[in-house]
Amino acid sequence: MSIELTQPKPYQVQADQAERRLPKGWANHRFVYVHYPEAWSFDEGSGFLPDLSTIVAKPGVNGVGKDGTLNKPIAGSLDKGGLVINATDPRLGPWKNYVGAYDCVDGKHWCFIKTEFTILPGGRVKPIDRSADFRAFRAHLRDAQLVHPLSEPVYNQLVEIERQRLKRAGNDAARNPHLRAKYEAQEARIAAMAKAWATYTGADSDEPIGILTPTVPPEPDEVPAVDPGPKRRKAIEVSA
Amino acid sequence: MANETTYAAILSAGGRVTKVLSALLHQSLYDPTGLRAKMNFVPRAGMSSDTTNVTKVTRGAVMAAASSETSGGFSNTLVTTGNYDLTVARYGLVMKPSDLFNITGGAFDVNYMLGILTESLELTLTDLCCGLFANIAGNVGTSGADMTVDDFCDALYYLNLKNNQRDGVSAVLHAQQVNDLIESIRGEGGPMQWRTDAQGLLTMPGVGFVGQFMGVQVIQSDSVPTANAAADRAGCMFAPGAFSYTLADVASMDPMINPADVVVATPEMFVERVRDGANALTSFIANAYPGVAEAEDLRGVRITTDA
Repeated sequence: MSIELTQPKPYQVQADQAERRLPKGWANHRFVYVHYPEAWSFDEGSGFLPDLSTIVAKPGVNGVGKDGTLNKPIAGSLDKGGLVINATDPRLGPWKNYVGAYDCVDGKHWCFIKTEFTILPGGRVKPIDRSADFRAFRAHLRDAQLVHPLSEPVYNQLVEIERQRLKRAGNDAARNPHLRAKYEAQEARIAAMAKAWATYTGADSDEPIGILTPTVPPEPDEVPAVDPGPKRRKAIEVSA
Repeated sequence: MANETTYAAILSAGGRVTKVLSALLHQSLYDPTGLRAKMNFVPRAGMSSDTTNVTKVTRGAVMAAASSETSGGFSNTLVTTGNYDLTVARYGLVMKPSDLFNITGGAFDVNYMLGILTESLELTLTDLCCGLFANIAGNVGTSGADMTVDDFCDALYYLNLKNNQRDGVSAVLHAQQVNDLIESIRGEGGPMQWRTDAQGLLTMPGVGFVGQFMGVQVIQSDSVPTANAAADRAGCMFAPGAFSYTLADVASMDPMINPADVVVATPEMFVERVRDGANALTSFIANAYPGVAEAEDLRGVRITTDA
């Protein structure tokens, strides 16, 4: 006896059944931000911002074992002057717990808390630009003094790099007048850096941190009194 | 007319099949870049720990001038030392073909699969090496700005200021950074435009070693990490000795594994076979125990530019 199939069950993709995880290949490892004393850069909108490095809990990397603990890489980082930014530090304010994670097909994708993605049809993943949030985070670290201060030698180094670029832009503009705008933009950038530095030092550092001043040898008239000895009639006078 | 012997007729009658596999296998795009040769190999020492500690010593002490001909002497000079750890961790990859996959054969067969498993060690070392870039203290480039020849030169200057040798310097960059660098080279004037290596880089080579520019080997890798909340890429220029790696010796896993079940055996990795007879499945498990570390921070500099 034949059997007739006449009523297929309607198939409808439920929104909540759609894949909401990042695809294979996006899994990574937990991390913590760290700041090094020379790691500063200039942003024309936000002023001087700390450049952050990351210590990643990837097994086999920089002493991280199978358990993923960060003790060894953190010790190595401190050894070279790093300042670890603890995600639970209350001074982080709105940026406390700055690391988040998305589920992936093959694990978790750890990222800055404001990171967002668009998954295109077909599965391609496009990060959404949240660099403004990250700049705000870095500015908060600077303002809350959670990073090394920007020292004058580091500032001078940054300016020197920009001056070299200005010089090259000037050479280019001399040969190709249409490149004059690039030269002027570079000039404006250096002026903005000077302005930002003035703001930074004025607001932040009455007592510059970490500046070494040489010991001044005493002047001849400041030589402390010594025992004149029996043949001397008068001790050397010491004036303040 | 009737009863012609057509392809369509024979196909429907079962005398032909709709498709046959080509003997030629098309290899889809992937990044085969290997960075093992850019790291120093440190033989793993001892048998009692997963960690090998490497001592660093700074040479180059100069003598001090005497303050007096007959008195004063000299104070002791401490030799500057440091150390770093290489901790190995297990990395593995499993592929599980069925008997029917093997029986049906073709260009893509079990042996091809074993080749992928064996190659995975090199790609893993590349991935681990690039994982070291994010914690390098020195940094050049501007967040959000495309990489330029200026950034490339800044990285070179940085390494030079730290007494690095020029010979053997490498720059591992993401594809976007390589593209931006080439774009910048296109606009260079003066002596730069006449350099033959600049012309060579303009030919847009593919992944892996993309050329030598200003004496630096430029290597492109998709393992170069993101930075600044994925807005940038953190490539790295480094001199020899910046990074080290080790691999635990797995040449002999006897008596842990029956030697007959070790399909590929090298001191660095092995591929183990595990049979699930009831389900006609065979697992091939590649195992390796690598460890990488930043040997000396001043031998490298990050190049952080727009992603």
